[in-house]
Amino acid sequence: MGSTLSTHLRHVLTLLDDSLSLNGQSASFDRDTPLLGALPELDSMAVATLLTAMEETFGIAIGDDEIDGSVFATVGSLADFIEQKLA
Amino acid sequence: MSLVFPKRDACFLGEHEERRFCLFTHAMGRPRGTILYVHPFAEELNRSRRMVALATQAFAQQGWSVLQMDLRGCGDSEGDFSDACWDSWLADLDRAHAWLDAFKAQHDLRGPTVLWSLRAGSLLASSWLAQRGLSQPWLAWQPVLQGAPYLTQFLRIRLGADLASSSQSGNVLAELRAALKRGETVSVGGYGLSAALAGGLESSGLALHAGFQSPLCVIEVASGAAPELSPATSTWLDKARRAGHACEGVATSGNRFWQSAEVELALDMIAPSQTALRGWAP
Repeated sequence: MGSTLSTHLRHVLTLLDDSLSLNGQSASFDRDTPLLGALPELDSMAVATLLTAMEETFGIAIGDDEIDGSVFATVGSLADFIEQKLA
Repeated sequence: MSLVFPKRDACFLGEHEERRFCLFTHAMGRPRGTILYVHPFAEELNRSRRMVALATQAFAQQGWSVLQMDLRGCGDSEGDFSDACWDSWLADLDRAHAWLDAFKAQHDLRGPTVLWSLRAGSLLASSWLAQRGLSQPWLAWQPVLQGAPYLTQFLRIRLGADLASSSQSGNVLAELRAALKRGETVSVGGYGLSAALAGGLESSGLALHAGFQSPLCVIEVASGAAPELSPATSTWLDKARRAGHACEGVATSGNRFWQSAEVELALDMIAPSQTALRGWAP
């Protein structure tokens, strides 16, 4: 379980880094790193890009009613969301 | 990179509501041909300007004249984004193409007119080539392959904006789609999207028509030390090759500059583009 979560976390960090052009900045992120409202690169366009990238990478479909601000609150909440989608 | 910069003219083509802003960068040295740039959709046009300007300069230094037109309702062209529809953009490409033909005739220039498209610009270029039955060398940077998921991604910008302000999304995408279906214009990320434009975008897809006999070079950026083409693009290219088209794909390292809030670059896209262009010059 723990290793699955860390795999998702790694994927999330890679996605964040690529989608938001963080240039490796995500290496210093952990589960508690705040995202929405804290990371200037995560603007509305980046949220849209990230959702599409998540769908493509994990082969999932994300309905808009599944998304609220809490999903994008931290790195950990985003990883948990993906884990729950894949469960 | 040379320190001598190419000459660049800014001008308007057409009048009144048909007025389009154009940048024309003149070839340096022996002219090899002309390039018609087809820009990406909405905010991606703005975010990619710096990278496109640098590439334009690099192409001009190797003998290519480049025409960049802001399509109807985009950039500094006449009209609001909500005035634009897919067909008006196709007509803009006609005008830009005709202008390049006239320029070549006037200066007795030989060499091809290459299409250079970025992101959803490739969807528009694809529609235009098919509808006009044209065939010309095509440089496609990070092409969007399907219009429908791209429209969804665009509409989700509203979702992102709503999350930032209220942390409640409701069902904003369904509402936007319903409004478009009723023929209304919706506002997304500061852009008014008309039902006609959304419809044109949604039904578009990257394809080479049967009569297309020119080479296509697709260039993508990817992360990591050994960049690879995305699986979707690889599959698309394989299919096009099996249909008899001359296609190549190159993956380069770089940032996804068209979507970045900061000005980002992917300079590694330039060299393989120049290689492709050299192969297409007479």
